[in-house]
Amino acid sequence: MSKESQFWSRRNFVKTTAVASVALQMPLWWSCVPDDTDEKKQTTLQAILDIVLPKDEYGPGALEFNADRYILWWLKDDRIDPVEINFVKEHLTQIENENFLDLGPDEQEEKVYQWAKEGHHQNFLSKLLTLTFEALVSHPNYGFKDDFSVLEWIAHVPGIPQPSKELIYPQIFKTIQND
Amino acid sequence: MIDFCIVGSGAGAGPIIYELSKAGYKVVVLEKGPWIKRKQFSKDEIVATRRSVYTPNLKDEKHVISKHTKEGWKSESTEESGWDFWNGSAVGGSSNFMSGYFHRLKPNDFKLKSTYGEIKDANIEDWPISYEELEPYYAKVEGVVGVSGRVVQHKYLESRSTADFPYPPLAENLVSSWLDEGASRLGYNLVPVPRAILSKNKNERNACYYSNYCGSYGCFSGAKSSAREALINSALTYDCEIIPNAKVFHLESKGHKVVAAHYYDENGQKQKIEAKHFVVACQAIETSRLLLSSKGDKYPNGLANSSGELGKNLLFSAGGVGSGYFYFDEYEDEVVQKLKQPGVFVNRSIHEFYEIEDEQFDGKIKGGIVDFLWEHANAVPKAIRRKWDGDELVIGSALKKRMRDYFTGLKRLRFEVFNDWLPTDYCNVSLDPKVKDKWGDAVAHVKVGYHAHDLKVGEYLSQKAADLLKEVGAKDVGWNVSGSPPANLQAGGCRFGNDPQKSVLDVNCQAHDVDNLYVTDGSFMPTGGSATYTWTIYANSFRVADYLKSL
Repeated sequence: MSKESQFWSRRNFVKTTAVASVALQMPLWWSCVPDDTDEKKQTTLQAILDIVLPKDEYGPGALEFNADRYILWWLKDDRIDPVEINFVKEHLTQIENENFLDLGPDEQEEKVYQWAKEGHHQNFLSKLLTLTFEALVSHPNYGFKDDFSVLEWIAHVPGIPQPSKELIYPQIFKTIQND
Repeated sequence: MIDFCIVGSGAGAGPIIYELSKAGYKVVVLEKGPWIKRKQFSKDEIVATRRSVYTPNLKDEKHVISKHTKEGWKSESTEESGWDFWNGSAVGGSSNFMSGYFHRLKPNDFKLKSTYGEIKDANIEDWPISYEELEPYYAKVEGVVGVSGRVVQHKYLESRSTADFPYPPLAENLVSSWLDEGASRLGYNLVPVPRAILSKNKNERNACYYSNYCGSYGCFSGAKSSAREALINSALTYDCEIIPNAKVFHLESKGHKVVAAHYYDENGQKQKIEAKHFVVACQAIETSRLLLSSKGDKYPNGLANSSGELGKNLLFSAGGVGSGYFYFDEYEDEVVQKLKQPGVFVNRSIHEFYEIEDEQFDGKIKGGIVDFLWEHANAVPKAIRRKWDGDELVIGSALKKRMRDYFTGLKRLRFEVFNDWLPTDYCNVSLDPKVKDKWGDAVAHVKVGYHAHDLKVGEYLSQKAADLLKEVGAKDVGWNVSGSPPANLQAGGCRFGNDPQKSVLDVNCQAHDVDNLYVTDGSFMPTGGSATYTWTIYANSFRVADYLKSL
């Protein structure tokens, strides 16, 4: 049984591990999302993702299919539950405030592995992994990968027909509406 | 003047739309969701299963679910829980996204109470019609809507007016023959599963091309027998208008008649349509919600609710789930290649225990069926299940090894158990007093209690299915039975019957107390049988259509 399913409420699951101390800081920087802020978040995400799904003998890592960019795209999707989005943003902010990026590679890895074992960043990491899996299977038309070669290590074959640019999310809403 | 205004366009509405349009009536359909055309269904996992595209966004439309916990009944909005009870808001409804495992009910399902007796705390009632009365319509669904399969003799085979299915069975995986042989060794028959999927072309619809992505996805070939493909597209050649993005929120009554359906259009503006007759088929929960919301001078407690039974005895089609694994390193390469063949179906079902006579039960009781199927090809859920090891999150190369080993080293054969979800006083629909949808209307409050008897039957059937998996060499076989309902298979809430004090609808699915209102989704079912509902919903809708044509 996954840890998520032990909880009655998806949001309570998120809330129990939310970062209360930074919650009040949220609206300002994320409502503007200037490029340099995006860049910092992206750097933090890249550092974490390179540890949770690295390039190794089994196959490509999360950065090879641009999971970091996929997650930034997800964070700006106003159709997604804002509670979930804020949850991810809050943890990213706290990790930045903990000067995670100033640590050496071994120390970063040690930290992330510790988060995976227990503690309030554990569910944040879990959410990043779920989004990373989505990035992995997303069609090249989403713009995060050139082709499906990154799926070869798990021998996953997407179905046919694959989505045209007009039929990927969220463009599909307009396509249906305009038809 | 419009003859028939139909609310909803799924399996319960499709036959009505098709038959009445074809008979020359002027028909208008109000469908809450958009009109997604065949060409717009791709196999994009993000669109189909990771975002609210085919279903409403829970921020906008939600339910409140009450579930019994150790601390008593606990209620929570689905926006909070993420437990989504929508199954397909689009022209054609959830039939667009079904897997199409089709089973007829069996004769005893129509007379559960008189055959097996009462069960304490269960509100079991016989149906006011028999299997024999519905049989011609089951046959009609096979031909008109499209069901593929083959008839084999077995002790619970229902009587049929036709010798076999009009469409031959779909291609099968090697494991189907293993299951046949294993079941034979265990001493019971395995039955081929009819599927609402065309195995050969039918008019504008093409045969199945074995995409490997069927359930939860719309069909690109038109093979899946959705109400849209099989019925609505044909109805459009007659005097039939489909209005998508039309959310009906109130049925206005005058005296004992419905005079207008009020709806929000795609711009959120209120509109209304007047008609001679109204047919509601919004899927069970939303049908009860709409009628409860449609109060009038004669209906202070909701339209068609003079009996006080509206929304009660909600049903789900459930029982249990289980699975076992075939590890490729235990088989020759040639066998592995056959097991891995994508798209072809398992299509096997156990009917042997539709009735159970076993010393652990008190006399003969009603059992159910078990369907076997491969794990869905979707990658994201498989990967998600690899990331946890107890309370620890698995990351790094350890996670990637788990993923690689799972995706490339095995296939998981699943089973789904279906036995009666007994109707009780603790499974029902009401209007939530607090939570509103995006239009400001009260959402459905769904209480999802279950009867303990259901779990006992589910456990019995699950054990039988697990025995078969082990018999054919599956490893790590496990199963789980719980009282959590599958949100995609709903019925009840407007049960039909002969007594207006105990039922909402009469034998023709007309509201007892409203002169021109009919309900034709699964709401009419007083008991659900031990099979998925869709074939029965289609069949009953054809039956009601015949009645409406005779008015």
